[in-house]
Amino acid sequence: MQKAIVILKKELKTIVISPIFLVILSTVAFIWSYVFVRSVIEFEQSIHTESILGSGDLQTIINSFLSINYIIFIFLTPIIAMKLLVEDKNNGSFNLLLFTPNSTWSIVLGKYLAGLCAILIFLLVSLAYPLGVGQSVGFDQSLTLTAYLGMFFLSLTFFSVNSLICSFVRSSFLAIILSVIANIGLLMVGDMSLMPSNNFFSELVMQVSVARHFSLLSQGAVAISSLVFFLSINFLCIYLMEKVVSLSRWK
Amino acid sequence: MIEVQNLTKHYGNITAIDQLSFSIKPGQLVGFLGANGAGKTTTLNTMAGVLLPSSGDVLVEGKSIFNNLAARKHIGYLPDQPPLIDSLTVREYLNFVAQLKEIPPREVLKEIGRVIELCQLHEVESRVCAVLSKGYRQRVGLAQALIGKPRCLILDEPTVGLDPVQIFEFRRLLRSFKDELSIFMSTHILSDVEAVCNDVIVIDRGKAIIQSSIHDLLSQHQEHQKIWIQSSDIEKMTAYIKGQSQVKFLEAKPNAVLVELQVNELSSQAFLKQLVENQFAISEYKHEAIHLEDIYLNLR
Repeated sequence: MQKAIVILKKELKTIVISPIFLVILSTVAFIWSYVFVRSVIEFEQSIHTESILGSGDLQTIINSFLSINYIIFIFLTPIIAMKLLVEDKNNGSFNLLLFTPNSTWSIVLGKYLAGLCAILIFLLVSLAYPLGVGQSVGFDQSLTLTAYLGMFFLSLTFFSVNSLICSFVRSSFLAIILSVIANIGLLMVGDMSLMPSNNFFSELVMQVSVARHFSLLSQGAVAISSLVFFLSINFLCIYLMEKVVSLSRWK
Repeated sequence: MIEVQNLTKHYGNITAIDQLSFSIKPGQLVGFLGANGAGKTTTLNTMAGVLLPSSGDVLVEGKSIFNNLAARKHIGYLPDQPPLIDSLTVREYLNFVAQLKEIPPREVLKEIGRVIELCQLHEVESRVCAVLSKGYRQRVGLAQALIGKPRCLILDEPTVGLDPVQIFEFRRLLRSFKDELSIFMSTHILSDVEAVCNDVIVIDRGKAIIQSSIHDLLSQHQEHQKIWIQSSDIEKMTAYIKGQSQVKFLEAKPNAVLVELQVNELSSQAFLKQLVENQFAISEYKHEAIHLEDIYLNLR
């Protein structure tokens, strides 16, 4: 675990100080600002026209804000995974981790934890909007935090699947394309509009639907089954990544 | 001591390394030669633990590097592409490598100072790796390999892309380590091997075809001695040489001829005497030294 922390620190240093990270964070923050301000203005207009009041309706601002986050993370986690794995493989620095006395588990965990931290940075910046405004207008903070917990698990699941893809490929472009497709695919599994009529199969698909578990969390239902579901996918991806990295030493 | 035992590596149906065995003793500087695709980089990557072998083992002080992570601490590796992290400064990078190599925290600064001193990186220690010249990148790569005082240094084409001054400096640096560690160096530049190493292994299609000291190898090939002979009557001399069975005519210039002698059959002195006795006027003669390059090219 000590080596994983060493790798995590180095990855954070290289990712967070990289110009690309700052450019992406600034761009995303700009989009968030725009969407949030627009949602607030629209909400104010709806109050004037329909005289709607109450925190429950204010929550629609959070929901529209989350739906933007949702789209942003579909594209963001592939970039983070690509930077952590594919770029390292291409510039030879991944080999440094292989020929120094490190286990493949520590390498994979270090990279995964670095991705987790990068996602947390984005989510914390994003959370500043609803928390900051919520303090003065009276959002249901617990509901906001639960929704963000869902967002955190969703983006972490995207990232773990993307990292698994990146552990296979060497082309940055291909890694991003495949990862974005995988993220969209993950969201489509269990999409109600695409599902056939009720049967055992559709019930099973619903149980393994990322979108459904995220939806439960974003509505404030912290179900243990959803947390176990997200964590299981993450553990599975980390396990498979370790196998892929180990197997790459045989090739 | 590092021992490579029956190392074999298959890539599907292709055998990159085939039952390769050798050992590197402390203080030994070994050059590793072979054509492109002969299996050099695969051998080096396997010896360093980047790749796992299909069969065979690499032992450091009797411990396998594949089953024992600690054994890898005794190997310093500089791949053909130095594994630098462009966004870190040289000092930050070396600090990261020191932590990966499990240098105790209180000794990290001292160890970094030592390799910076050895590889003369003072000038660039605060610069990010991305802006370093090729020569400095190679030195930083060497510095990372030297962290932790490994017993064996494995270098993959360390002088490729360097200018002549940088090559000279790099060779000098490597020679300065000869009392502290053993070096196993793959290269295409045969003069690097002659300048730095005392032993050579030549690999072809994954198999070692020569394992010898450079001195022994050159001595063995001294039996074929080449001499340039300058004379005013080259045409006549060429005709005479072509009629001699113990002498091989190689090349003629307007005022000189190059011949090859089988030294055990006819010494150069005896042959020159023979020419003089046959009324050939010799204005000058020069022995052409045998280089590793000649031997290597003759193998192909």
